[in-house]
Amino acid sequence: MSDPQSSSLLDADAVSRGEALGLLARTVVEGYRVGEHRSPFKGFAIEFAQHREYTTGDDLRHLDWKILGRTDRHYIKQYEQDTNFVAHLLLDGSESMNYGSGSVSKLQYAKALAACLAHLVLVQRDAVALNLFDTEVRERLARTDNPGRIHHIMDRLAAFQATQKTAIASALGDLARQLKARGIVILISDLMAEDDEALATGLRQLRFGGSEVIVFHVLDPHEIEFPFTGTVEFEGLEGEPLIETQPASIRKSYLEAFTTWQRSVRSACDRAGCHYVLANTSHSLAETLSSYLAFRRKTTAR
Amino acid sequence: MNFLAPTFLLAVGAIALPVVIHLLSKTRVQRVRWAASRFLAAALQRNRRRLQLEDLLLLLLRCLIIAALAFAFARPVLPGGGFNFGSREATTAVLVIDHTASMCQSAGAETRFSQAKVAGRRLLEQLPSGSSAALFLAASHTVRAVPQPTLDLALVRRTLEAAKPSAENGDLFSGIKEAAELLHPLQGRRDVFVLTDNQSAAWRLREKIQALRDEFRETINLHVIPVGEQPEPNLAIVRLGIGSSVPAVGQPVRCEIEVKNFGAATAENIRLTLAVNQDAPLDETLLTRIEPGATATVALFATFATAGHHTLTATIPSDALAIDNQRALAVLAVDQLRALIIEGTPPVSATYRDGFFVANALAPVSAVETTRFYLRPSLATSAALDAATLAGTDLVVLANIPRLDTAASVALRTYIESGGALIVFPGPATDPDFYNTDPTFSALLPARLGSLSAPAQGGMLVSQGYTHPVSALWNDREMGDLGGVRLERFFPLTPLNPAVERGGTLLRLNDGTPVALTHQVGRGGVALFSTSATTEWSNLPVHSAFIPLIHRLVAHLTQRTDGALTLAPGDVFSLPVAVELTGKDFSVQRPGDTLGRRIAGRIEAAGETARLTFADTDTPGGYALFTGAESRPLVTFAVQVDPSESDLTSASLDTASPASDLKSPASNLNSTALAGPSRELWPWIAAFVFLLALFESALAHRFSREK
Repeated sequence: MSDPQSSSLLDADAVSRGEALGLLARTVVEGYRVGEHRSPFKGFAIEFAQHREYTTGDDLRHLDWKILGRTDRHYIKQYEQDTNFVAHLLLDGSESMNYGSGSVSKLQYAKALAACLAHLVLVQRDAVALNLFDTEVRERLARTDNPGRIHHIMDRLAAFQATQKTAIASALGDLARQLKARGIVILISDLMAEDDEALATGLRQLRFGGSEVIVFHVLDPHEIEFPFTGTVEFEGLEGEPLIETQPASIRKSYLEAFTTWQRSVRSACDRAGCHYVLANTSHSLAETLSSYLAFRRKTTAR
Repeated sequence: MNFLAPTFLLAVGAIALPVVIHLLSKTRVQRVRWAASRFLAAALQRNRRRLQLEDLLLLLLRCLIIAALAFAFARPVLPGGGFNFGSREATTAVLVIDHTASMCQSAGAETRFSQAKVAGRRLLEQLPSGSSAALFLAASHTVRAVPQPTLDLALVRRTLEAAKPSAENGDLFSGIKEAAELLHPLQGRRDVFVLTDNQSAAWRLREKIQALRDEFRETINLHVIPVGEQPEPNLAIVRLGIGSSVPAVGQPVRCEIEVKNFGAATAENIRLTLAVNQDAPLDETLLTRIEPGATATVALFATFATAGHHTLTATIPSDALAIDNQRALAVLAVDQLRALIIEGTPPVSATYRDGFFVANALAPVSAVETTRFYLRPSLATSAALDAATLAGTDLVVLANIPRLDTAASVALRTYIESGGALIVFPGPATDPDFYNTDPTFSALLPARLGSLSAPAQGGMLVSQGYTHPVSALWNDREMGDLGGVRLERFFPLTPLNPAVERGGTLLRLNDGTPVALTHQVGRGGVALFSTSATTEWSNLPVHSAFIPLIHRLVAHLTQRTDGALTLAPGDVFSLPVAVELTGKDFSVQRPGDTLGRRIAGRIEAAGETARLTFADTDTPGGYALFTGAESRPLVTFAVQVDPSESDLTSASLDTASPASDLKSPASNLNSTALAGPSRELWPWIAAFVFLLALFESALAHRFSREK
């Protein structure tokens, strides 16, 4: 039996919309079995792709004899091969994710988002791997393409509690080193790391390995709008000193700093060739997910 | 700077309020566990200095507003010219305000009394903290408006504001004396402040005031604070009197009016009017010129339509001192006066009898008109002198009466004392011993008779220099000449006392020997001539002055009983009335009261009789008192300003005047000590607070905008 709390992570609306749209690999992924996604390997089985000159060691079975006969040159025939992909869900489990102005904290929202994505991936016969991190990777679920494992994934998600500070850069670095094949890395985080440059570096490392990276930037509406009035004492979730102030008097400055940071994160994602998706916890999960997947379906070349 | 309500300065402590509110607001802090602290810290770091400055500025502004409010409530006063108290030691002070009529003088908008009130208020503001004060209004009656020194200076100030000027005369001595006696038993510093227009009349008793100052020199500081500048020129009606005869219905009554110029410049073209009962003027004249210090005497005529009490009012145009530009007189007009002429010897013929000339002088009209004439003489013998006959008689003339029996003498004395009038002419039949020695009759006479003799120096009457109101008319030669009267025989008169000789000499010979004397007996009056009422001993009965003389004398003697109808301001009017009026309300029509009568009191029982008492006589002019719905007044009376109050001449501070004597060395007083007006600052502070509040609101709004 799965934990009832874990089953609540699946948003029925989000899942149904997500299933309709699917999660297509935006770039070529190295799958380990045939799926819906293009493989980076040019094979010889199904669909011709191109010719290339023969080099020593090539299998002579793939030699194009007709061309050899006509031109006396040695060419090897190459074919495109569909494959499945591995989606690496990278979920930020730091304490800052515990903030939530409404009934849902950023972490809860992120867990639900991760569960939905995992479900979608498994449903379309792709594989999913889960990594929960804060200063380092705390939980790791090996990749699986068994849809029946979704409950296990959700249990692990539900059981996870945020207790530590964030160190996204090191988590991304670890993951980049561990990835043996290209796939899709889905980073779900508020990205409130101390070092924005390290984040950019981590993203570049992932991209360097050839993986597609999608960044779900989970933010609370109060963090975006800062609507507080009166005198408020802010207690940092990650050990920052207490700050007592009248938010109205610094709202403009705060929003400037926040927007600048958000813009720099987006810019870093863009520079690294990552998809940046703002996940505002005031919006429904279905809305966030479906809008991104629709965008993705539209922009993915087949 | 002084404060009218210094207690409110304690409220300055309320500037702690904004700080307390700020501290209290700390307890209402909302606590939030927050993820994006790094941006918050960055924003705060960027704005920290500005926020601190804004908070400090707002706090200062709010503290300033509260402090300014407390300051405004304390009512700070910025004195103009200050009174130098030498030290700030608290004092017990008595403010003595000159309350005499001269304080009503005004050069325009403000009377001297108003100026004294302003100076008094300023003085109260300048009293050192912790001082107490009392307030006296000094005139003929000293009004203790605030009878005991009180620390509640606001009460003194309010009482001072409510004080009204009066028309009383008097000087400052009694007020200063009462103030000094009040302060003498007290301890600590004591000051008496006299605020006066410094009119000479106010310092009539300067020696006494000087002695008082010397007596209390060691314990009490006496300060004189003059108010007003130079005395104003002033014209005043100083006398209004009945000049000719008895005021009778339908008879023109000669009213003598004296207008005096108290100013330094000649007064010209002064319109003088005379009115009865506040009606339109009946007569008027134009006084073309009155030299400085001179008095113009004029006669105007009034006629009374009905018998009873009336008021005559003479008026000149209003000037610096308005209350003496009008003078009233209460007059009792009669239908007819009945004169009983008692003859001492039987008549020889219709024309040769003792009372012939007197009877014809009293009623100088034809036989047909005699019954309608206001004086109705009848001739009788001494047998008619009984109480019943005298009760219906207004005037008794004794002509050549040798002596009277005791009953007649007693009846006559009772008659005179109760208000009757008597004229006595001796004659050949007169027994001087009886006149001089009879205990009852002699007590009625103003003089003793000497032996019958012929006057020295031809027996001529002096023609000028009379002071008696009856004969003063002939001081003006245009009115006739008494010098033509010659006596051949007479009983030299020896006045009973110098007062009678001084004030009662009606006629006198060239050598000064009195020919006729008058005096008062009880409520009545008596005139005694030294010669006969016939032409046997003098030509007086046939002289042209005899008729007016007799008429004026009758008027003088019969109106004497109405002397109580003329009061000084502040006097209490009291009149015995019929006992059946007891318990009835009476109403009054005051001078210038155009709205009609107002209920003024109730007639009270006084033993076996009843008495009407009315005390509100501050305003000069004619008063009419009525009972019930009667259209005719029960009585009228007049309140007249003392002519001495019309002389506005100042006692100069620069000369050896009483005021300069009273300048205490400790007082540092000068004549402009309180000249500058003090200013209350609270309206300005309130405006400042208002602007501060606006500024604070604008700043708070600006600071609360997003940054």
